[in-house]
Amino acid sequence: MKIYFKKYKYTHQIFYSSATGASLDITNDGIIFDLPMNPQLSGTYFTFGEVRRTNSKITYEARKLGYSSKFFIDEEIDGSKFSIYLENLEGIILKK
Amino acid sequence: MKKMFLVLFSTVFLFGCSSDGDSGSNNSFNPPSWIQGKWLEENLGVSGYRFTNNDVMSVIMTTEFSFGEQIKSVNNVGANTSINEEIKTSTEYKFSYTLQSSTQYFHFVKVSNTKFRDELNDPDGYNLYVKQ
Repeated sequence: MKIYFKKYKYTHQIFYSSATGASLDITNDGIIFDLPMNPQLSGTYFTFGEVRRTNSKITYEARKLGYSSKFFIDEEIDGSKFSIYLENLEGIILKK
Repeated sequence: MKKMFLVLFSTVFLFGCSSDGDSGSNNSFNPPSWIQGKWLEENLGVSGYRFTNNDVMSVIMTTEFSFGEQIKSVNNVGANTSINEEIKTSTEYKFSYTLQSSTQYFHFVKVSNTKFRDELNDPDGYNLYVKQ
């Protein structure tokens, strides 16, 4: 299942920018983020179950292929927004 | 006889020496000198890379991820790893590293003394990085 994003912003930013070509692909081999504006966050992520669920979003703990650090992926329940961030909450928010 | 050995030894020594332009499979990274330092993406300056004489790090905001350390830690648990520095010249640095069956590719091209661009997977464009 491939999802394309229209806008993105970093967690410390207020306004969104255009996210040309950014997408997410949910495959059997993991979640593949293709983020041309940020190759450092692009790549394959493996989720390790939910760590939190609210009325609006689900948070998954994740590992990025080739990285030993812990990442988190947030998914809005309605699928409109995804976030990838580190334990220090730095990361990116992607909007459909 | 002695002279012949000397000539043979000198030839092997000369052609066996590595230089900045050498490339191939290694056990560690050896980025060329022009790329060493910290580089952040031109527009927002939040992500980028840091290169030292023996490592490459991915920078995501205030966090740095050492590729060399990742490879070492995966290697320590018995997994297959390799680094292939395919192009290493005064204007280009192209390498890949493999952790088990997964290979990550990187390709950087010098634009000026303070800028390089990546030539990664995006056919529509590239990111410019500025030296910090």
